[in-house]
Amino acid sequence: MNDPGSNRAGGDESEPYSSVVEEHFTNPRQVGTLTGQFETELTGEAGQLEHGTRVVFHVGVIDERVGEIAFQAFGCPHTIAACSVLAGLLAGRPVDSLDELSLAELAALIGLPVEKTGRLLVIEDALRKCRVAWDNRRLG
Amino acid sequence: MITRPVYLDYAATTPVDADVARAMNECLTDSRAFGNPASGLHAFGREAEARVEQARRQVAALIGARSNEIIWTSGATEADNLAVIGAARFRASTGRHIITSATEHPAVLDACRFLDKQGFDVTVLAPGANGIIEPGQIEDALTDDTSLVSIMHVNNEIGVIQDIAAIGALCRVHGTLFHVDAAQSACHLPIDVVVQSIDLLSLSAQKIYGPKGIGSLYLNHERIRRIEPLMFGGSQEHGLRPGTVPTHQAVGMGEACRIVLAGRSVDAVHIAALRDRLWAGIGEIPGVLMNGDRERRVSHILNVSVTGVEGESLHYGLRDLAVSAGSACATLDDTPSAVLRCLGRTDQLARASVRFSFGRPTTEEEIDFAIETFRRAVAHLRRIAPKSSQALA
Repeated sequence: MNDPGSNRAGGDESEPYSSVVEEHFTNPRQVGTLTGQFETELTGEAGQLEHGTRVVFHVGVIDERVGEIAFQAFGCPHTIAACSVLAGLLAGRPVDSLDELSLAELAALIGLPVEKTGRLLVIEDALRKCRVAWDNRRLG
Repeated sequence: MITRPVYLDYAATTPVDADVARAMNECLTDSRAFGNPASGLHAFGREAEARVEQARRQVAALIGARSNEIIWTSGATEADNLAVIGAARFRASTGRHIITSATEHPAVLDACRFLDKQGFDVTVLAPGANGIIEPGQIEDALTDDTSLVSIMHVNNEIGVIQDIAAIGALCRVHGTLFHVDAAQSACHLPIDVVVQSIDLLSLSAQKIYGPKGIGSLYLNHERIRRIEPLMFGGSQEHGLRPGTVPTHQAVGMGEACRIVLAGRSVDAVHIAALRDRLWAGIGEIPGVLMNGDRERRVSHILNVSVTGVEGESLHYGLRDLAVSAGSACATLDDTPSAVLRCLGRTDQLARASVRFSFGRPTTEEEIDFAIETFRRAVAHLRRIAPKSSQALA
């Protein structure tokens, strides 16, 4: 009943979640909303609660870069860990490149089972909505 | 000092009682007990047979049956299969309608689906939101063609207790066979097959501190002496379940039944107090809902759903506790519990459900650890989740 399946990376194959997932699930970084004040704040939401995954990213922009990023997530441990890992990776990056993440690299980093690839697509959608909001602001 | 993870999954299986293990070991090491219990021509066989028959009497005593009405099986799943398929097929000439409920164990439901494909007519009753099948539902579903009613005593997921005496009485008046899966109840509730008008009853040793790999089926000889076997190749168990009886397994189950009968009332008080302690600790958390009837439930199971949290993450947050999911979400199977969906729970609540189950070795210290772990996990996930998820129920 509790066999979590296979196809995991980043730890003991007998464990259901990698050490990266365990760490970021237990101590997620940048949870919540923005703590600072920014002239431009972006929000991107994706996924459906009824389907088990809902992700919200909040981005504070400074000089066209990610000054601060925060997330909220309703989802499985891999989803929470992926959001937390991404929040760390995206800080300081150009806002233009928010959604230019490599899903394969992220999946490998957290040891995502292939059956759960859809969860990363939800995260990508949320970040894309932040980028679209940025484009709309910038272009007018 | 708490040893992690804390085992709170006694409804899934129980550890083997030390006295049971001793009795089994004695069987395995005694130089006269290894004989085939069917080899009555020599002393080795007769020694094994004597032990098997003693165990059969112990099983029968637990449920108020006669020992010759007990058939050894590999467990409750086989007993359920044998009862449902064996009885339905044997009585097919007098009726081809079977009644069961949507919250039965898959060992019954899948057997009924098999029969449905074989041309039998199966009625699957839906319980109320409390998980209870009312006897009136059975009465309304009975037809002249009904040959078998199969209703479990205690539900394995939510622990509600069905009124099997009332259902049994209805079946008796109607002339229909009544099968009860008692795998979850035998350790915790009194069972009397005569008083409760039960014709077939399934038991499992591994739910009552006995070994895995053995169970039994009771067959009321006054109502049905034969059923159609599922296996062929020997005359053991009156030809209804061929194959050499595993002496040590049977002895283990018999000893487990003896211990249950001797101490069930004491265990029930201890275990009910633990369940109530856990509920007092987690029931006050907003959005924690008890699944199943609040009164008509067995002492060793507490099933709850949690609003606003995702099921797989809830279970990962509870990884210091060995508990069961209301669904197989941890296996990446996204299907929510069919039992909880039957009760009207949403997919989210069915997924974010936890079955705690308690046993003789469970301590108050373990329950307090479970309360703290649960509270922490729920608070953690609600802190991470978007505000919109808090309204999700």
